[in-house]
Amino acid sequence: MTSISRKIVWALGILLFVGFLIAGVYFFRKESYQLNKNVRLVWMRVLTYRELSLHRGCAYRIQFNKGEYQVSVLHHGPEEKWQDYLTFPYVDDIEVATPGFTVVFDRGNLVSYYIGEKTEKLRPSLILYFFHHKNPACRRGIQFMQTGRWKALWGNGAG
Amino acid sequence: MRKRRGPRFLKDKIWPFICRRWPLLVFLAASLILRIFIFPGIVPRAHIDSITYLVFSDLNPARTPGYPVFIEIIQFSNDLFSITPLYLHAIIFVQMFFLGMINCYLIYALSKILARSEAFAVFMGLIYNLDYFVVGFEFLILTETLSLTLLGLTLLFYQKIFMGKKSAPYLAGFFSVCLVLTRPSFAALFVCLAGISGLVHLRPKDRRSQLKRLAGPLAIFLFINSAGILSWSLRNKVKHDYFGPSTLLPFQLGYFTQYFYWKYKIGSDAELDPYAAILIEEKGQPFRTAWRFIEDLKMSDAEIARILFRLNLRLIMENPMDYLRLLPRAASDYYGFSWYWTELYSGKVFGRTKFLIKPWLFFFRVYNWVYHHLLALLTFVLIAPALFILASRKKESVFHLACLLEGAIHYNFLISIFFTPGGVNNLRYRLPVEPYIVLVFFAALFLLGRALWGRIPKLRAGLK
Repeated sequence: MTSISRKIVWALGILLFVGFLIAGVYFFRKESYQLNKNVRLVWMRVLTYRELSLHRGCAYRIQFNKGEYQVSVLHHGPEEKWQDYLTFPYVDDIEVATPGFTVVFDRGNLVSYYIGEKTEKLRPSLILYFFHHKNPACRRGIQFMQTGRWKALWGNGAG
Repeated sequence: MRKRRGPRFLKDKIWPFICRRWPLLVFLAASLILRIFIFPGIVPRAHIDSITYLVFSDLNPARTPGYPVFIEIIQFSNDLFSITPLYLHAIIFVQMFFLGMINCYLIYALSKILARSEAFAVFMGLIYNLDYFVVGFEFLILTETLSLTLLGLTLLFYQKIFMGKKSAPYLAGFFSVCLVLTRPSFAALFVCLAGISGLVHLRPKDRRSQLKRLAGPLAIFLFINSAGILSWSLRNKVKHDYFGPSTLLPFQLGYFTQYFYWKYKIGSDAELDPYAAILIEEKGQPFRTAWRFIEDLKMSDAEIARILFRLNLRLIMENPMDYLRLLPRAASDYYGFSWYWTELYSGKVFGRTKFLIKPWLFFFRVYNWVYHHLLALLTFVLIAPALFILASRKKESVFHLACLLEGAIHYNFLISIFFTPGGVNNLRYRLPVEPYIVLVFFAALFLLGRALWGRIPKLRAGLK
């Protein structure tokens, strides 16, 4: 076997091994992976609209409904109203545990988070939970805090 | 009796390898330890540019997929193995411990080819770690550190094409495409590299034999690059109805025209006038104008890019002097020096790594002085590299690599100043070539020092 073909065989072998390893882990941890992925996407999009609210100088609202979450932007016209902007579905059989959870950002600040009816005063913190339809006991959450921060919770912390 | 393989393998392979490469191993271990100290103090923050590629499925057509794919791989692994819910920390971790270490090795490897000295290569690797302007970008979620890695890999493998390594054109082409798909401003670099190599290697006396030897590998390199750029352009055409690697260019030109947007003559083009009116209302600011196009006219990203491009190009063509007047400031900001991009993080990082403050501050003061004195700056980026290239013209591989490095450095400079009109972004765009600017300068000093050292015995003998 020549030097170059030996190298190719080694590279292919390593690739196959990594591929099988990932496939194996995915097979055994599929639900956990899907839950993590959805929570991460929500976390990242929250960050995205916080940044956009700062740079576009406007207010964004994210409403977590059943089956999807909706982004709206505050329209300043003759009267102020929330205009629907984008909708993101939860994928892979993931569902939000507390439909009606709403987060509002204005010019880069987390100004409000509430469930159902709007309350002006921020609670010290609220956790938005997600679960997998096939395994409702397994949950992941995102904690929104009065300090204006939010963080993902995994493992026991997520309940 | 059959001998055991383990100890013999250790004796025959590992031990000689350690004995042979111990300076490199010690240097890499030092770089790793340094990062282990720094990492716990890092507070990652997203920049406004970061949010356009944090979610791969939401990728904006202004963004190319290189860095988003890198982030997606990290996030996929993190989700699969449930490593950490600190998503930004995970990205920074890989940048520091994977890209950072590769960068250290690349600087070492390129320095070794350039100066043919192990000690100089280790010294340059250490210099890289002590330049906080460069290392600080490893803590940011921006494309710069990945660009630096990919540029280094492209140059290293491209240079190996001329040493006759068979896999080099494929690897150089692959990394060059990755580089373009990370930073579209490098889209024409592969043509520049091939042009420089043509000038260096195809000298009249042996043009035919060299052409015969290099035509195949260079054709592979050029083909891979063209195919990579074309394929992403086609993808954009199919998905967003925009042919090109990125829709960023009109926005970049918009940063220039925001200084003379009011010079647009309403009534000069019936098709562009309504858009120009919005541009003027928004005081020429490209992103606010684009936002108005979305809100008021419900335009797609591709339509916005096309209209902004036409508007900005028209403004520049009609007012070339206004455009050219902005270039000196762009050049000055490009060759500025500050810790603007990394200062947010300095407090915490410095608090934890007190032993690093002195060397970091020392190099900060040195570079700050160099970049703020015209003569020193010219020596740093032009005179010393030119002397080095002249002095190494007879050593083909050194001469070729020095020309390639200088080609990449000045290509990046020209692209940056022609497409960004000054400000901190120009400074940021220098980052992918900054270690190479430093490398060529120190290589020139090293060459000078070695030449003087060689002359000392002769001088002594002459005096006697």
